[in-house]
Amino acid sequence: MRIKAADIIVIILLFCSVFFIKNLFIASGAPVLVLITEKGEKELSFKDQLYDLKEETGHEMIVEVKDGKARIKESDCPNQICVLTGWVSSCGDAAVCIPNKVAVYVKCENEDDGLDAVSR
Amino acid sequence: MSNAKTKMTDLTPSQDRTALIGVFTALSIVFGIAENFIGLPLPGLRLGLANIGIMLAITMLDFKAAFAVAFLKAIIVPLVTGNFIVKVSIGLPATLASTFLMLTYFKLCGRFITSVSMGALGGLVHITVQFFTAGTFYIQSPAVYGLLPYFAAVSAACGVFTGYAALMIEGYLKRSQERSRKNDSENYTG
Repeated sequence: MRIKAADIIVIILLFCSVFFIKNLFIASGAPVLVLITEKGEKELSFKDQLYDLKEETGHEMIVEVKDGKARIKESDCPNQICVLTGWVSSCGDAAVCIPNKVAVYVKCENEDDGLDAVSR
Repeated sequence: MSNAKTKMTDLTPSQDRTALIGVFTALSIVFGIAENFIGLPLPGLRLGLANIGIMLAITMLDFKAAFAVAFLKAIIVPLVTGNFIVKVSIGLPATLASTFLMLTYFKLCGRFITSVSMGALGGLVHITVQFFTAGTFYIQSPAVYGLLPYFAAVSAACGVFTGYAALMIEGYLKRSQERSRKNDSENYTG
């Protein structure tokens, strides 16, 4: 009993498929960066940019967008959870600051379709 | 004298099959309990040694035997290891789904493949169904699927390992079956 050539091919294919398994469950589609504040939702562009939220929220907050990822760079909130969350880039990721009522969220277009809706 | 001895071991094919189902089920259950004590880098993941019994039933017996082994293993191992309801609700669908797919795979391309790639497939299906049931009934957050690729990769690697183990055992079993058949015929003629 020995391993056959087809075995190796199938195993390699299975390992490649690992990278696509996630897409079975998480909605794909074009990601959109959404900034949520007390005043409502706003779409952010994917261009590298710093957003100063002092005027909007009255708090010392800076949101940074870079290389298609976003993060809350600075915040005056006590726990710094939103800053420690780091970069958000894939569908459903979010960095949230509850005391200042600010969140950066990656929204995907067909998120309300399919399995994702069931699991909620 | 030798005739009496051979008669005792001379089982009909259906008796042989029943005995093998029992052996494979026992193997699965013992491995299933034992692997609870083998830790892996990712929490909650097991080597899948219990799958060896199921794979042997697929390659050496038939689909009824494979499902019998899979079902008994999925019920009895949680009975012994505890946390019965959670483990059965997550594990039973996963075990049955992976058994079904491994069987289909073996029936379709059994001539070209061995249990090594079948094990990898089974591991992958098992962990995916587990994530789906756990995500639907227990965790209810899509974030859990973010972990799936890592679990799936480790699971497929474990499947290769257990598949290879099953292949070795299968080879040994077939050799010993042939040997006993040969001995029997020698005894009859001699």
